[in-house]
Amino acid sequence: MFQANELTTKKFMSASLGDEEKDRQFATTLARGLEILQCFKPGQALLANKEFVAGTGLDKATVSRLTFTLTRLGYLRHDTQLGKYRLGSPVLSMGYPLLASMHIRHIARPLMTELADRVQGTVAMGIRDRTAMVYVETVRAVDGLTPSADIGVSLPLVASAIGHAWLAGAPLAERQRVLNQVKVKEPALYAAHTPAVEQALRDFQARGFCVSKGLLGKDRYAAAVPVARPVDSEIVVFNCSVASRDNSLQMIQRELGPRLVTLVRSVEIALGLH
Amino acid sequence: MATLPTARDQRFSTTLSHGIDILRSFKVGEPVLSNREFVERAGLSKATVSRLTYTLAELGFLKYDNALRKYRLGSAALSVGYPLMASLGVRQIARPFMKALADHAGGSVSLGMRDRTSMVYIETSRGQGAIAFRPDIGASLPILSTAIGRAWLAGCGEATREAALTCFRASDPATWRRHRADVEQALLDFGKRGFCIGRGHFQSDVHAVATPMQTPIDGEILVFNCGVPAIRLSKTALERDLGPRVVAMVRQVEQAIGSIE
Repeated sequence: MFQANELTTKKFMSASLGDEEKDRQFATTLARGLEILQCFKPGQALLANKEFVAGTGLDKATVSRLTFTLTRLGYLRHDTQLGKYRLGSPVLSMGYPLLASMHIRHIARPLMTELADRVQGTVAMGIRDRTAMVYVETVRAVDGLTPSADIGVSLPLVASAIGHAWLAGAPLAERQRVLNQVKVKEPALYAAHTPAVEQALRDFQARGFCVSKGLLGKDRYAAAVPVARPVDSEIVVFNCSVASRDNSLQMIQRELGPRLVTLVRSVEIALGLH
Repeated sequence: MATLPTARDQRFSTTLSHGIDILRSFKVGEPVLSNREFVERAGLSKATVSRLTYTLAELGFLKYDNALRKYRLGSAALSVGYPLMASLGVRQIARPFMKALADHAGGSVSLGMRDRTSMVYIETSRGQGAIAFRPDIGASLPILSTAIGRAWLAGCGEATREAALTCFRASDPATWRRHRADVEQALLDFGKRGFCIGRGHFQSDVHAVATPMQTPIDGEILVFNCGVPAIRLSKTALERDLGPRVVAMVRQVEQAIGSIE
């Protein structure tokens, strides 16, 4: 499966840091248990022990000990008829204290609603989650039953406007570190998107926003802008996407991108970042 | 909840359980915690806590704030729940119905799922002019003291209800005693009206009505509620208007699901 090899990556990173003391500090069982939970993907709501084995590279005995523990704690539910596991409801509330503490969501929401209505699109706010961007707030124009724009959604960092804008907004050392992680963890994705990433960084220099066409939803265009300074030590990025029409790219360059920049500057002022 | 490990089962991994306890130490309004605070809350040794927090930070479940020298929850704690959220197609189906009711009520309409002793919101729709921002997706509301929780008790079936109530009695007798009479009354009222009413049990200025779906979705009974600032409500609005409307909305959602499946 896709997620795999968090541990392999981890080991690689530690080895490259040469930090044996830190490696001893690493609680492998905890990491493996969380890795089991991260095997689930949208569209894969049911997984069997066999699939966890394939997804994590762990042996069967280890997997069954972890699924036993996670089931006891409610984080997995065993569907006895299907002989498979689902995620349990405690995963839904795990991140809520983080969401609730993000004051920026309250400040930005009315501005996001206004922009979504004006351009008949979706406006979202995200932060980085390892090599992906995860949405922490989304606003849809009335049209949309766009299930791809929920809070909690992850988009690959190197393959989305919001991820490119994160790279553009990150300090150079952090950008390099994260790009290296992508290179190790997802080499094919990294290779495929490197030219687009480089282009996006140049575009950002020139215009103040990043643009992508159909990288994820093939029929959509998106623009993205990072907040100028970290908020609670996170680089927060806004994106705005619209269904593609004949003149979409032009519309994004001339209208949507600049409007999103204005939105982000307003949020920064409201947060006192200027 | 009924799944708390009792015996020292060989297969139970304490390290994993403790790591998850660390993540659950955060509360709304307490977004940053230090290792010392984890020690106090989780009842673990300092060495164990520092090993667990180090690991969780490496994995993106915690994030170390250099300025405060404390931990925040990391974004991985958010994304881990998304596949479950995405698998609940009822959210998309219900969304337009929820929005229509929220607009009518001038409040918010939410869909919740049971999470141990709480109901967790999996979808929220705010009406025109609704000011309240919280609670929203991911928020937990206590079962015993809210309309949505009591409606879950009313709809989840006798065996599940008895198991849940037994657990409350055992794990938190004080809370159980405080709410017992109201819960029993709510179950009686539900029998007559088809919905539960909450008058500011959770947030003192918000009143709510709630009703469960009739068939389980992936094995869980989901519950809809509608919460409105008390100041906007006439005396009989909950019983006469919003209650029947939330019931009608749930029947529409059930029909819409039926016509798709």
